[in-house]
Amino acid sequence: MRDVIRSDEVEIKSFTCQQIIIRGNGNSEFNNTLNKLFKLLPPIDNLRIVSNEEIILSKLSFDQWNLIFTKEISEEKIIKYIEKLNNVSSILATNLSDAQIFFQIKGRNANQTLNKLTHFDFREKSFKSLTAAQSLLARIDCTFLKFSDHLLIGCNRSFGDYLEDRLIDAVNF
Amino acid sequence: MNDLTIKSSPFVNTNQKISFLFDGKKLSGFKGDTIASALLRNNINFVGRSFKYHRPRGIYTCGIEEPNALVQIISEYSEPNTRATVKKIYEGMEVESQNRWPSLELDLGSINNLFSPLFSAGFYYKTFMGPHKSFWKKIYEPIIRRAAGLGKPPKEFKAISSHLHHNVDIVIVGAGLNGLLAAKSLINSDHDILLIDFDTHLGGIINNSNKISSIDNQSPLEWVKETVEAIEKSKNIKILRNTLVTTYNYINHLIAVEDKYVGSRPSENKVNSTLHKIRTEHVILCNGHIERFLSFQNNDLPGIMLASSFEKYICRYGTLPSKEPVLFSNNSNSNSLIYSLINQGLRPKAYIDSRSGENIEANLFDIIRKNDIPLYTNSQIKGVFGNKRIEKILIEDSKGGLSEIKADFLCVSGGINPDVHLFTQSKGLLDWDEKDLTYKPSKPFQSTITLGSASGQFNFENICNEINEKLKIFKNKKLDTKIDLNINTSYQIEKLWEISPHEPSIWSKSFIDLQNDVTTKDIRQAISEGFDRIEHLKRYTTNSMGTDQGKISSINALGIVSELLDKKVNEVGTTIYRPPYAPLSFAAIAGRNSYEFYDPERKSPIHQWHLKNGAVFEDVGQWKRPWYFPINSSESMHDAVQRESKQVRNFAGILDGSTLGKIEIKGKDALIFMNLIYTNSFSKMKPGSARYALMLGEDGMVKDDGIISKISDEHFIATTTTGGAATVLGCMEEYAQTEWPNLNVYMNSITEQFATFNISGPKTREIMQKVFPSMDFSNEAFPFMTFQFHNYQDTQIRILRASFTGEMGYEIYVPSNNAIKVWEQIHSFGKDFGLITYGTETMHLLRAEKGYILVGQDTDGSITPIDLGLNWMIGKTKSDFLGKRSLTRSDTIRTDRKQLVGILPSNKKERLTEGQHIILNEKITTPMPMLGHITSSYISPTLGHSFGLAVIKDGHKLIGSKAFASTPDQKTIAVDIVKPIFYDEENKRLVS
Repeated sequence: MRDVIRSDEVEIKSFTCQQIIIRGNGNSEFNNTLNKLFKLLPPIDNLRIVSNEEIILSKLSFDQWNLIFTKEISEEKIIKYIEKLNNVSSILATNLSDAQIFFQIKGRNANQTLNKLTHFDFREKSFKSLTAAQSLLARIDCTFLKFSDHLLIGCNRSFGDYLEDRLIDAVNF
Repeated sequence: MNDLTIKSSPFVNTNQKISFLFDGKKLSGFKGDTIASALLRNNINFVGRSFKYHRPRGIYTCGIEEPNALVQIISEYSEPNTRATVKKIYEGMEVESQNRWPSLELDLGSINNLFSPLFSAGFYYKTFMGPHKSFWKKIYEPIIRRAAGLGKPPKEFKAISSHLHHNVDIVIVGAGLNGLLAAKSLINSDHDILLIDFDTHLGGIINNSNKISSIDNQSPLEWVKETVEAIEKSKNIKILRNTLVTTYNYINHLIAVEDKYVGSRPSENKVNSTLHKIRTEHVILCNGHIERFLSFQNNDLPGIMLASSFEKYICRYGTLPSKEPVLFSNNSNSNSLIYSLINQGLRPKAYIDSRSGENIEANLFDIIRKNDIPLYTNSQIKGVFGNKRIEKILIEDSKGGLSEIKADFLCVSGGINPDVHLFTQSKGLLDWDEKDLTYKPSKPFQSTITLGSASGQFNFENICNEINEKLKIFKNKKLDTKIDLNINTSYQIEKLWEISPHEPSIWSKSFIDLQNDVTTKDIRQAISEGFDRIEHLKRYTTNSMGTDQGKISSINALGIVSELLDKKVNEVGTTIYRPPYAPLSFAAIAGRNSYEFYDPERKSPIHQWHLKNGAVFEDVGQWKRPWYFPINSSESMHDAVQRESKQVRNFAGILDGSTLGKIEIKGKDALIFMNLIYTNSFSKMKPGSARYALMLGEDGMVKDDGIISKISDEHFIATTTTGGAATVLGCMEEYAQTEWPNLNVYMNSITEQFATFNISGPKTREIMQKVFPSMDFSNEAFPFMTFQFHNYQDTQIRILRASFTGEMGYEIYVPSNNAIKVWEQIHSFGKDFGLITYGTETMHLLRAEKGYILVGQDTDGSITPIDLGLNWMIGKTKSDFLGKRSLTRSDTIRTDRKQLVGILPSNKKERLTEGQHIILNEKITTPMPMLGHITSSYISPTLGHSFGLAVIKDGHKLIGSKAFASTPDQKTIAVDIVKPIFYDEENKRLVS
């Protein structure tokens, strides 16, 4: 993780992480395949997150799941996971480990900082921990993954510099 | 200055003098003064000229409702139309009056006043109709625009603002007595609350008047201090000061503007204002009331001010606009001004009340008698007279007797209205209250609560009961606050909309809208001409328009109209109150989405390399793509492109094609899906092979193109154009989900996962062999339009043999994290083979030489594959594909459609330009039938001359014939229409 900006009120770090985007129908074959591979049952409800020490698995839409590895594994292993998933004809698994930039943001003013860039309601009463959302931040598509003490924001890697500049600007202004 | 400063106000620091310039004259005020209070302190009341007649105008109010005192702040990027009654002064501030030339005192525009009898309602509409319609645009409008208007637009757009979104449960608008009480009752509740006030100092009427003597046995100011401290300490309430709510939209969405530099010079590199965009569950409006003026002869002269504003200048700013004002009222709200003056050891020169003696409050009578104030009951002001300031006042008693008072200042009060702008913006309904003679909030349309005078409760007794009752849905703490008043009166008013002049003159006027110079006569005339609907009347007369939106006058206009039409005010209705409540600057609206953040930027994974190597970038959608790579600062784009293209044709070149859209498609029915989406057939394609493919819209027109790589019948990778990536994926998703939900197929965008490098040129194979020594790049092992996966160092890459330049080439797909490593490796091996990096301009030149189209440049949404000569790409045996039906429509199969051709200048020294029209005649006449236009044109170093692609009518048949290309200077260039391919027609180089 790289420090983007740190103050008493907000702390932002950026990083890339290994991830697989999985499309499928969420049927028992789908669930069993994932459970067998990752020891984790995928969430059934949209925009919910389940996690263990190594994996964050979020359901981003009715047929789309995002699997993030919180601990680095070899690329070979990722390719093998993908092959195994793709062996099931009703699953499309794609390696997106290089496709996104993540920002971890926390601190007392985290919500206010982000609300300079989006109208999205980050308050715990509206956006609960272990839920996900997809919305615009600084006019680009982002994924929000909410945890009890921090928020992860994912965006396409090509927008990474732009979003970092906007976040720094939002903290400073 | 000192004799008009009465005492040290808690809100103005008389120990801190502030110097500022007004019309070039150096003046001084105190820290905390507004421009208006500082000018009044300097005994200056004449501050501007009126909109139409250029009449002298003074400071009329002490707040945001001000119609007259609008000034231009030269020291703030020349911000125009700033209300002097709101804007605080700071050291070195430069202020200018508006709408006058050459000076405020001597304004040549005031000649309009002499011709004012001509400028009646609808003057422009009626007068400037002839002799020819062009006169309006060319003569009348420019002159009228120059003569009329308020401030001058700023020459530069520099102010910096930011936007901040809020999501809360409750917004309380206004932190006066009711707002503070409402907030106090909700301290530490479960609701997230924003308390918003336009002022720096919260308290509203408590700070601005002497109405309240104590609250809970504390001095009012002490009570405010304690209450604000308690609110600030609470965990759930945030206070926004210096913030004006301008807009109340649907679904409880409010817009508010915060001035970050109240009383100080705005910074040039920090945010000057914040635009708050607030989404909330409930809104509590405590934004108070607005006092009305009265219409009588010359009611616009400097020296006339609203009574409550006069009191505010005393209480809030500690300045006296005048030591001996005359007071004219028809209601009890102005009583506290008398108390405030007495409190300062002063007394009004006279008190004139339109009400009869028995209707005037007893305690007011007591004060008047005790202080020996001349009293005129049942009387009216017939007019005021003076030159640039009032000098005398003409009073008429109930029997018609006239008397005259010499006075330099007049305070007027025509009653008060709840400030209903925000409530009506929220689509809440109003009801006319015949007793209080005002519109009051009746039915909210959204979750809106009004409290205090904003809801039409003008008396103080019921404040706590109202709050307890209306806020019980929030389970608030019950309030039992004791409020004692200095003058204990209930609000009373007598109807008085307009007073006719004693001796009417065609030059003297009784204004109903000060800002737009609308007179009561204009209202009469408009009605007599049939504009008897209030909205029509507003537009015909411009009543209640302008920056003040008729805040102090619109109800009076309704009263006059109701009497003229002999209708009840409720039947006349109101005009619609539209946002914003008060003007806000474009800078505030723009926020940070300007300058460097105007548009989000996308960068390829090797963007830094391009920067280091001197790339000149072009914007392609949001992408920053290297356009060309000049070898030094003196090399022009033309020279760089010529050099780059020669190098690619002779040796090798590499392009960063990472922006290409990439989509992975997989599923049991992926083959069926791909056959339906694209025109081509993929059924017979072997795994490991690729095919150039076209995607059509349902109208049969070319929508996108790309290369489809087949991994298996169940697994494909498609590339798209850079600009079409999101559209194509969206289109695939839409059809998969809505048209063919029976198909088992999924797709993911992999655009960002892989960088793409396009390497091509005769030396490419040798370079590739060096970079990837374990692979066999021979034609046999790696034929054209095939691909292979390859494990390279720690990652897996995919290499596709394809080319967009016409040379032998490969596309290398590398995971983005490894992109720079592979890119540099290729360069390091390619150096010895003359490899160069080229940009998009060279790519365009090379592809056009080869006749490859660029979707969006050579097509425009009206071109079919047949028009492009790409019939071979249509899978004729396929039962269906997107756009198939449209390809057989009569219009689509017309042979004279615009079709793609090549264009060469007959004289090879001539140069073609994109956009030139292709015509058949050498001489240009009008109208000139055009065949079509040149879509792409370049100067080819390989061909040694200019060439182009064009879409022209019946183009395919015209190949081999001659035509002309028009030039912007009405000349023509002779051109030959040729096949749209200029280089290696046999594809020998491509498959070599």
